[in-house]
Amino acid sequence: MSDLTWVAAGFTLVYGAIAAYTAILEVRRRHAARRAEEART
Amino acid sequence: MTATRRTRTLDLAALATLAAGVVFALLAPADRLQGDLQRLMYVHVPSAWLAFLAFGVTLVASVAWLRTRADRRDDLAVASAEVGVFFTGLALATGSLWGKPVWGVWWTWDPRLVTTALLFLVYLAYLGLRRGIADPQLRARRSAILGVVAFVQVPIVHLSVVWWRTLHQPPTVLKPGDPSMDHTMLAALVTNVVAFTLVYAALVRRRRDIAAAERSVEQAQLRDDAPLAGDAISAPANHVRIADV
Repeated sequence: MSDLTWVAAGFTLVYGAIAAYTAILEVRRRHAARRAEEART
Repeated sequence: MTATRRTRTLDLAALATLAAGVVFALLAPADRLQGDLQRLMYVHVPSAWLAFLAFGVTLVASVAWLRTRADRRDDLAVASAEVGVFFTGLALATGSLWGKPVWGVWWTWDPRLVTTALLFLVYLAYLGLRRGIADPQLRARRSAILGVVAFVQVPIVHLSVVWWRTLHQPPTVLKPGDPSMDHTMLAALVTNVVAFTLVYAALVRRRRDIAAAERSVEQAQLRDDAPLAGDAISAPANHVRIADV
């Protein structure tokens, strides 16, 4: 593999992981907020 | 400004700085020895620094919880620890990707790599410990103590390249004296560190909201399960003693 392919793989891994983790946290946050609201009522 | 709007503003700031960081990382000059491969530094080093920062915040929040017993401190400690584990995982993965073409191996038993892997595992255990204790006060106390003790590893990881002879290069920025790096490269690195710090803040904010919501569900369940006056002396109508069977 060329040097730039390794670099592209590294950048894709990092930014992909950040995007995926942000999306997972956002789903978990909405789910937890809904459960908290149900528990209050 | 509402909480949702603050989160959105933080997300946009993180996204814009990340984009600037990518541009700077690609425009910075190539390294004399490693060529373009050295550009992996612009994601590897910020990931490692953010792991240190995250575990530092967990330490401070844990100490604050031990002093005040405030739930918010515990929420921040767990939020920062989880995000710290995420960034430590990224540092290990990008280090492995960088190591393969430069050192010829994905992994080697080098002191920096081993201490970082231990750091990752200990904070993973911190998250596991929290899931294993049902009582909120006991959970907060035990994890606060672990949050303080586990931080001892951070200076060990940072200084491992100074204390032992390793394949990993010694510090080039966080060391006594001027950074041993070209100014353009340093500017690109600092931009990426700022970008990753904003990402860290956005992630911790979400994770802290989750911890707070889970706590309120837990408290509601504890209230529902609490015995009412008279519960202790009442018995089911169809009560059967084992001796009767």
